[in-house]
Amino acid sequence: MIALQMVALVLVVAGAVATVLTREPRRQAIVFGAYGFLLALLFLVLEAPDVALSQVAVSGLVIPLLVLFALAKLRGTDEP
Amino acid sequence: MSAVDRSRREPGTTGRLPLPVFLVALATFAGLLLLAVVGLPSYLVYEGPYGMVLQELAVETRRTAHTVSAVLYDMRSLDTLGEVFALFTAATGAVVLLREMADEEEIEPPDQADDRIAPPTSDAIRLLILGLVPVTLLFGIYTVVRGHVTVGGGFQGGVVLGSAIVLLHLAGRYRTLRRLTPDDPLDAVESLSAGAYVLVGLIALAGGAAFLANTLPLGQTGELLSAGTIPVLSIIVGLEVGAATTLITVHLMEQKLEIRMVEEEGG
Repeated sequence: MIALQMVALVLVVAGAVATVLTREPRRQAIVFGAYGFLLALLFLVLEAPDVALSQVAVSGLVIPLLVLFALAKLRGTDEP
Repeated sequence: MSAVDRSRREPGTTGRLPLPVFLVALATFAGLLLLAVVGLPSYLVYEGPYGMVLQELAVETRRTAHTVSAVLYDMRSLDTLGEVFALFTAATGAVVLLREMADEEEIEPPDQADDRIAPPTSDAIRLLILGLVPVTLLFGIYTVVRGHVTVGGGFQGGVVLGSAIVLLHLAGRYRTLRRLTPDDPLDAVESLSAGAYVLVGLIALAGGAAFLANTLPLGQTGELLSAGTIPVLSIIVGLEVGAATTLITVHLMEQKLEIRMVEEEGG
């Protein structure tokens, strides 16, 4: 069981680094969504399924959507 | 021409000095963090008595199989009240900030206007969303209503419900989404649920117990109708969170898709 948690932690660190190193904002929003899923996986592995549920919905769907819409509005072009 | 021209630096960035300072600070912080983490008890070894007491209390006295729900909606329901109002305030702030201002007007969303400028969404995505939306909606209702028996509860189910409705936009059906989420009923649902939470607490008060105490009949553990006020509060919070999430997301979408600055000619 400890190996699973190690793997999840390593994935989360990789996801966080990837999110920070992605420079273009639209791409970063999508990578952040994937990072949210990885974080939810970590929460699940650490035996916190309620938090994982909220995390998937909020960080995987709502936040990238909001960020992309805000970016689109700032750009003044059509929807993403 | 080198790839990085150091002589023309953008305003806001400083020289090379911060990098060594940052590395020293990073090393110190990493060392201290490692020292602290090594001293923690190992994973999955729980040594505190409070957790065990809570687990027994939840099943014996509250007749609920889900300790987290028991803590959230019964033993610590006052804190949950604060969280509900925090989300309510956030949604209100978002709606107020994103309202239509005097120098903006409302236009048709791009996928329905005569001069259609948005590309049509692919059939694969539309089929996928067609399958996803009812399943997600059902899953959200299931999570909210069974929060006192299995994993889930008001917050989790509420967020899932809110995102289920928002998925419609990904299918290119923004007009349908707006028809399903009109402003006034959403506002009403959100405000009334936040008020209903306080009302349940006041009912407990009227019955002679403490504010937000568990006063409904407790029933059998594992049944749908059990655990007193816990499922009631769970459903109320689910409605509130779902409505608030939908409100915030839809208003931001509306800001992009339906509102724009008034044109110069004629105003």
